[in-house]
Amino acid sequence: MNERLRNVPDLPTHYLTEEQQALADQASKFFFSEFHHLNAEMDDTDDLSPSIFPKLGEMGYLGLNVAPEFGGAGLDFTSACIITEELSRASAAIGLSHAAHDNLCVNNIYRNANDDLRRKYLPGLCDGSLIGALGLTEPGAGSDALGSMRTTARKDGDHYVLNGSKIYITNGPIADIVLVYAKTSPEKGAKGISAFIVETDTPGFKVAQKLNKMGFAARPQASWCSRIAGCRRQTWWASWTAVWQ
Amino acid sequence: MNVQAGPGMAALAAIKANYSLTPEQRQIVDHVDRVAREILHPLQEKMDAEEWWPEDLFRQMGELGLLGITAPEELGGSGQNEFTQALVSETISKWNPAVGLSHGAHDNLCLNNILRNGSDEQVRKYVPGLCSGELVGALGLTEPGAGSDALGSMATSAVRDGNDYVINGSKIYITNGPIADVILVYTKTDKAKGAKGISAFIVETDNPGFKVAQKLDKMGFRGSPTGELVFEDCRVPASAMIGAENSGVSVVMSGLDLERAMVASVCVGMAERALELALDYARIREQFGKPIASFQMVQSKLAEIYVEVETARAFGYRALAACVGLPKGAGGRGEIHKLTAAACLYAGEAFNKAVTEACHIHGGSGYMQDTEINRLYRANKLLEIGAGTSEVRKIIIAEELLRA
Ligand SMILES: Cc1cc2nc3c(=O)[nH]c(=O)nc-3n(C[C@H](O)[C@H](O)[C@H](O)COP(=O)(O)OP(=O)(O)OC[C@H]3O[C@@H](n4cnc5c(N)ncnc54)[C@H](O)[C@@H]3O)c2cc1C
Ligand SMILES: Cc1cc2nc3c(=O)[nH]c(=O)nc-3n(C[C@H](O)[C@H](O)[C@H](O)COP(=O)(O)OP(=O)(O)OC[C@H]3O[C@@H](n4cnc5c(N)ncnc54)[C@H](O)[C@@H]3O)c2cc1C
Repeated sequence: MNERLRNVPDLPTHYLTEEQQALADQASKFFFSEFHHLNAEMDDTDDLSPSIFPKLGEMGYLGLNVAPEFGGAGLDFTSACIITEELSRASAAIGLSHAAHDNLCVNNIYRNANDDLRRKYLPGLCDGSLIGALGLTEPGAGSDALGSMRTTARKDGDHYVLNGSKIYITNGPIADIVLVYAKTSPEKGAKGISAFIVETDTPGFKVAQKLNKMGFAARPQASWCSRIAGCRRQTWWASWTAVWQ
Repeated sequence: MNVQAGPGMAALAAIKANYSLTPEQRQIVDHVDRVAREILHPLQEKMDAEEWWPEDLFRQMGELGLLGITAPEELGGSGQNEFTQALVSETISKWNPAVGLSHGAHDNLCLNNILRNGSDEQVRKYVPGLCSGELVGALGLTEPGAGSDALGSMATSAVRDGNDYVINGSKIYITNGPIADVILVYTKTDKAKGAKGISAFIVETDNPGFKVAQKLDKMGFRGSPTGELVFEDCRVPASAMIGAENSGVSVVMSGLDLERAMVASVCVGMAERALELALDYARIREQFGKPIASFQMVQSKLAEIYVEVETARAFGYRALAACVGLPKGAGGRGEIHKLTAAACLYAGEAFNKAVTEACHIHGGSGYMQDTEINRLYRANKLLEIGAGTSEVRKIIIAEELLRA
């Protein structure tokens, strides 16, 4: 794969270290033998086989940037990108589902959540028993995701109650955990946004529909209105602030 | 929502009016626009989702006067020229690209070819049925091993046997193949003579030697049935041959010139629809508290799409004007060959750019399969492939330019 570049002595191999190159070669071999042949069927059925996330977890390809104490691979960011690249080369659809899980959801939790939340969710997200997603975009809020965001989280005792909908959410239909952005102080605009971890078996959450895309089939992707009406979360779960604050 | 004549639509109509269409042409376009919008447009969704062709649609099109545009009125046609046929193609394709494609294969590739090159007897036998939609037509040139080099690599053969010819071989990517009653098929009658050894036959699909090997699953133009066809000792009478033996190349080549002019019009209709959809969406969709149409970067795209539509139209109409009155057997070389290839090349690429930008203006919704803009976007690629790929079109243009 990267052989060609390596064989030209004057060209640096994108400045990969020996270890990163070895990681890329090993990942490429595994992804091609395990996943490449699934592409045609995934494109037909638009379904992601339930065995894929556990398999990725078993091989150490989940929680790429997460420290080993939480079950992750403890890799640097460049190495995580190399693995994403190799996975997408073998299967674009799995590559994107993996990225939504591992970068958008898992790495976000790892970087921003408190230790209780990290201990609660990261091990499952790293071994593939939990699937993650990130919900930012809404029917009325895409490019202007922050300004036009309508999903709200209202404090009610030691809970927050979320109302609103998110759309085009990769992994939405199969996710166990969704990192959701919601307005806690709508009057403060972008500064009034908070991030919550929502477990999808919470009453009040539903997948309105699985969307029919033209590409990346098998990247299960929700949903013109994954309604999160009245989702109750304990306050301590939501005790961390939005990433951009 | 998008059929109301907002300023954008009115401007488009005014531009079209400037092409000095005759009152009759304008009447025909108005009629086709209305029926295509009312009857064909609503069929898009199911056709696309299921690769579904409505069973009696050709008959219905016949009743609506959409078939046999170039056929004489006494045979059931409209007695119009190829320019008008292209206007019809453009308008149908705008409202339902898949129907536009099937209509073009039937009306231009099959019916018009028989009309131009068939004997009186053949014309009388097939044209009335093709005009009423009782018969569905197709054209079979491409083979698994013969695409861009359709003539040189053609392997399908027809061998004389008494008063019959026996056809063996296969054809692929044939529009209407799975539903056709009548197929104009090109075969080699003299392999030693290469392109000069080709003959054209009219094959009726109830012939026991004919079969549809498979209906193909496409990314765009879904609903227009595309097939792989097999001829196995398919015995046809000598009277099924169009023109003289080994004279097929002139039928192919002149037919392809007209086809390319038609394809340019298909592109124009679809690009115009992409512009309308983009305009509508840009006006309605709000982000940052304003319609996205108010952002200059979106406006820039709209302007560019508009330019693609109108330049493709101007060039396409010019090529079509040159096709009118093209003598039987002419074409396949010279000015008309170059001009139609150039208009087709330009229109295919213009539509590609236009629909890519129009889809982009739709943001995430443009990526979802069940939106009209996404259907147009997926239809895109074929227009740079069918009737000769962009490269083949360039080869033709350069050959003609360099011919001393
Ligand atoms: C397959 C798929 C998977 C996705 N996965 C996720 C996910 O996991 N999580 C998630 O939160 N989101 C996800 N998204 C959503 C994605 O991030 C949004 O679609 C994207 O941000 C665009 O938003 P929009 O679709 O609302 O388009 P809009 O914001 O409505 O944009 C429409 C058009 O207007 C243009 N535009 C808007 N504002 C301006 C401006 N000020 N100046 C110039 N042009 C402008 C845009 O560039 C675009 O061309 C996904 C989308 C798709 C299609
Ligand atoms: C939906 C659909 C409907 C169709 N309907 C019909 C129909 O009704 N009847 C019919 O007969 N055919 C039909 N076709 C076939 C179509 O005309 C061919 O697909 C087309 O001519 C290209 O041939 P090919 O697919 O064999 O590609 P190839 O000829 O194999 O070309 C592959 C690539 O190589 C390039 N290439 C080839 N030769 C050269 C060269 N000398 N220089 C530079 N580049 C070159 C081409 O441009 C192309 O990019 C249809 C096709 C499709 C997809």
